[in-house]
Amino acid sequence: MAEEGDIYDEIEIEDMTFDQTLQIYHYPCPCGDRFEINIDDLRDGHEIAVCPSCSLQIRVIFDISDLPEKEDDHPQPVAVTV
Amino acid sequence: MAEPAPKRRKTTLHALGSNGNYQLGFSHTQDTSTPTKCVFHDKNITLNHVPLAEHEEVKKIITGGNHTLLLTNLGRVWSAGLNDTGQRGLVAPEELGIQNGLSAGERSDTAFSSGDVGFGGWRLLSWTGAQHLQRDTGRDHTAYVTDLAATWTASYLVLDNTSVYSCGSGQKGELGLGKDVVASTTPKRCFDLQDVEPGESTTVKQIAGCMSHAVVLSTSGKLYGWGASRKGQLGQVMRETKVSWTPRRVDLGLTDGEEWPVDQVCAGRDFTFVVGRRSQEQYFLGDASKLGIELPLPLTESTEKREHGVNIHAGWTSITVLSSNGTAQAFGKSPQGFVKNLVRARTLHNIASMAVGSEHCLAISDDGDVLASGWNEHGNCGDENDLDAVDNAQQANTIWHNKANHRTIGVAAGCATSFILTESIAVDETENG
Ligand SMILES: [Zn+2]
Repeated sequence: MAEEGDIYDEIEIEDMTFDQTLQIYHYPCPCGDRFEINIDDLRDGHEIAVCPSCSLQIRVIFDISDLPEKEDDHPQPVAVTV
Repeated sequence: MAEPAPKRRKTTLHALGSNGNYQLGFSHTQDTSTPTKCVFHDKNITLNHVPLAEHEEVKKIITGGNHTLLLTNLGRVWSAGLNDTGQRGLVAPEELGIQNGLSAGERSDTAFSSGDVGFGGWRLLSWTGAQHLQRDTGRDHTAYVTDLAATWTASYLVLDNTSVYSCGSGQKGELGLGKDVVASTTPKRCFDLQDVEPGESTTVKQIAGCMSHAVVLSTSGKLYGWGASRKGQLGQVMRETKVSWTPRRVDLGLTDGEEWPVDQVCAGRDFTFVVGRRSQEQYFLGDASKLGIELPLPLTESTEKREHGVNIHAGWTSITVLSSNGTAQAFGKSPQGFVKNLVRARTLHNIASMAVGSEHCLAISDDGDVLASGWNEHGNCGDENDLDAVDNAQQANTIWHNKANHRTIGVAAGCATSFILTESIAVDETENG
């Protein structure tokens, strides 16, 4: 778990942008890159979005129940053993 | 008798900091912590100084998330950095054909498609404002660009101090072009002062943008804004709609009889700060308490001196006020928020002018030296190991030393990017005799 000192800011999920293709939420970082977190990580209870270009991180403020439903259009093939 | 050799001014732009998308205007994408000369592509010639005509001067440099624009007093606009959504106002090659007055050289020089990020250096905008303003308004002006601003991925060009054209992209109404318009690869008119203050001789006094919203201040003291508004950065009325797709008057929430004309505005990440001509006239749009800003700020300048008095600047999470006595004071989260920095100043002294970036600031001292203070992970405040460069009294890093024949004339700061503009006087020997 990241230490408090590493957290640049706390950002409400409503202020972030959801990328449907990449399935990530992102938000601008003051370095020019952006903080990113995968929606599955949020569903797993993770709340720290990281910037790939610097050491800053943000804590995402959200309710798991408010996340969009997981799409099950492409169910994982079930492994069959014979 | 030989005439004395003519003196030639040469203006040079130096940059340092974050450069992953060519936003510093070099021919490469490496970060640097040493001020390095920018590269300008003027037609087919590559120069390491700013190509300026006689009597032409650099008027302003503004920054988006990953792009940078430079405006001259003749209305010419140069840009560097990311153009993936047309935020540099540069048009696709097929559209260049419809533009007049371009030589073949200029055409090939500016011809790159939006989405192409593989270009370094600064390039000249060939977009013709006059043509567009005539078509859009019927007004027959010799329209030229008079001011600039930017959000994260959008840019604003002000024509004739009256009309605002936007280009680039934004999910939260940053373009101001109407509901759900999130991208425009060429500049389109989003705001016109003559529409909202018809028949008056008012002009655009200031335009400012930050991450996701933009504001325009009229010389009548009225404020207009668009873009992200959920945090109250555009006032209480627009807070309700969360996003403002078209420009609207910003209501400062002052009661009748207590209204005052806005004199200056600055825009931060989630806020807007305005001041009037008297020190008690100040209004913070947004959540000041979240940034640890206590209002009113202790502004002590007298009314009469305001023109050369207080100057307000916003970072993403801070406000910096430069007073006419040369004292710069920072308010808000940035100066003491996160801690990965070598130097962090709350107050700087003997400052002539300054620029504030996302989480750092640059200041030109009375001696013409450039000081840097703030978040420095990308080297935008100079070399952290160069301890001799740290002015301990100022708690800031001296990143540029003024020289008599090569003086500092301006600074600009963006998202971990720093720009230093210098001017040298050289005796031109080639034209001698
Ligand atoms: Zn970053």
